[in-house]
Amino acid sequence: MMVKVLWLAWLEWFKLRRRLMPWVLLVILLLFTQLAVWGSFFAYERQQSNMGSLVLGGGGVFGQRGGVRIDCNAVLRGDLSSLPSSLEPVIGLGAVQQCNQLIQRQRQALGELYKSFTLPGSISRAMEMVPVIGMILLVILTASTVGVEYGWGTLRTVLVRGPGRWQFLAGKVILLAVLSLAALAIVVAATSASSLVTQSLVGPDALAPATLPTWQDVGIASIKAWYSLLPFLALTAFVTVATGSSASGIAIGLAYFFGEQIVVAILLNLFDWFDTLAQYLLEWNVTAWGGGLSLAAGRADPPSDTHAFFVLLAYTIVLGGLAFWFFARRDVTGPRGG
Amino acid sequence: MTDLVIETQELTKRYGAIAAVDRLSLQVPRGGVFGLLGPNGSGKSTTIGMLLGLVRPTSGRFRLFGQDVTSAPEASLKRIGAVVETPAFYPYMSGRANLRYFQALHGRGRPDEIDRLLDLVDLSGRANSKFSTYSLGMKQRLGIAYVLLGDPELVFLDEPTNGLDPAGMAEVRDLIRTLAADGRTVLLSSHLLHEVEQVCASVAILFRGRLIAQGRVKDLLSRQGGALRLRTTDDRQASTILAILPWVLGVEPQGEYLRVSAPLDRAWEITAALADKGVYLIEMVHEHVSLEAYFMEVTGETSAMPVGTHQ
Repeated sequence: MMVKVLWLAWLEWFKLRRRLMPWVLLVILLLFTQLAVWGSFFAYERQQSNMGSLVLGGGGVFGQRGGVRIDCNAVLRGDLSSLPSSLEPVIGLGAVQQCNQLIQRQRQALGELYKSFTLPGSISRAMEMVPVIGMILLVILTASTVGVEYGWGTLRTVLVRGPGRWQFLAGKVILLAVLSLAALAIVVAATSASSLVTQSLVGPDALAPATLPTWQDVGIASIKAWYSLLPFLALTAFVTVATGSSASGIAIGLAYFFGEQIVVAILLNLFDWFDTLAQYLLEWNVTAWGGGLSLAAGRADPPSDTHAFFVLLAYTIVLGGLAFWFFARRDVTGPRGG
Repeated sequence: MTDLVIETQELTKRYGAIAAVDRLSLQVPRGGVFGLLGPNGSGKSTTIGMLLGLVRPTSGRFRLFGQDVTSAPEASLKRIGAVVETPAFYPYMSGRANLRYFQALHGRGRPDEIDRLLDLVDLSGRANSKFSTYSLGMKQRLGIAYVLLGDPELVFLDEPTNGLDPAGMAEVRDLIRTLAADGRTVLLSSHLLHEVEQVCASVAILFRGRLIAQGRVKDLLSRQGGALRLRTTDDRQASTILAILPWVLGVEPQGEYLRVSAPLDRAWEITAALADKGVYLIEMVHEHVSLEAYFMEVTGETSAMPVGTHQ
């Protein structure tokens, strides 16, 4: 039976690889993750070149309308020539302290940026984007892959060849899960390639942070990112099967993703008891699991990893089960469009 | 006992209060072309959908190839090729790629089968064009090629000549006859009465979800009686002579003819009875009852259809 399902998954790939849509979605995913690498790199370069500048005064205090720009690095080396000649010694001392703090802060910020475009931190950063960008793209891919069979009326043509209903849907779901994993692997490869380039461009004297993520951290982040996609795959498959429409699958899948965040953010402010309920909501757990940002961040304690793991598993099983149940029971009629 | 490939018992499909198919008991014998005849909305496609596992019956049972598969018809689908209503394929794939996919899905058939089928339906020249660029007629022909993948024993064709020009329709009818001649059973669903009459040996007539009649076309039409039109040397006396024969159902003058309702195979007895009494035939014509006229009569439809005649 499993061999048959895998064969059906392979046949799904035979069809899907001929469509433009999955390739477009992959390009979009790569663009976003590459943007994270190159965006961080260029931000690092810009900040590094401006690092250590402090503006003192303003409003013409030192005879210059925009204030006086001080080179903190020079000041800390003992070269006080950039300080205005009329500067009180006390203020000069304060400027030195400010320079110290500023450089420390900027070093930290640069360190964070450095992690985003060098290996292996860049991969962790790319994986942080997956629960949002990857999820949106997976919702579109899932709804399209399942829904077009209704829209084009091909589901009837397929089912009368006798593949079995649940096996056919299982083939699709397995392919989508594998493709999402493959897409993450491609993202890892592309991010690694870009990171090697950016790493060589910044050179060995770059301001690296004291602690860098390990490859083990990166592996865990990648697996967690993939796991966080599965409940949305199940949700979208269920909605698409229940409505028989790609458009509904995409609309409801995305509306839930954004809607839950907004509703949770509002209700957490209004009702204390909602804290407990929020611990069992899908997107709240996805965010906690993936370590991403949430509109409701800081308003309630995020669930633990173990809690989130089981909640996401429960959503995947229940929503996936409903998708299979509907798919097996519903009458299959002609083309529906959309 | 007749070998039946399809047998339904009180098969019913209801959508709320509406019975799309109402207690249908159908028997389709093995071999030949069986027509499922009825106007649009009579329940033909729903019936086919139930037999193929696409639509869940509300009640009733059915057997395919002698096995009760009401709850799991998928088991029999390996032996069946079917197109339900308009053939639907993946628009971004070529006709050939579509057939390759469905052949692989079915798990039967040799690689050269696809070329042979494309040749058979005259689509070889456009085999590598995307399905979305096909005309309706080409889509229908690809549908027939798809149905024949894996050399099925039982073929369901649902309105296969929709969208075809007259020459295309004739080709498809010839193809259907060929399929049946190869020993297959073809279930042809159509609302075109003349089409069914031309290619089907047996029919079932559905009307508003109910089975009105089924059997061999010849038997149904002869059961309907038919009529003979006579011109004799003395029509008045002929009327009297024939009216007393027990197997003559009616005699009525119709213009310069006498219309005698009687079985065609007893026509010779009419000539003998008349000659016995010294009345001789000038002309005898068999009034052929077409399936169309028969359909109108059994369904109670009021539109007057011309009754064809042949000698």
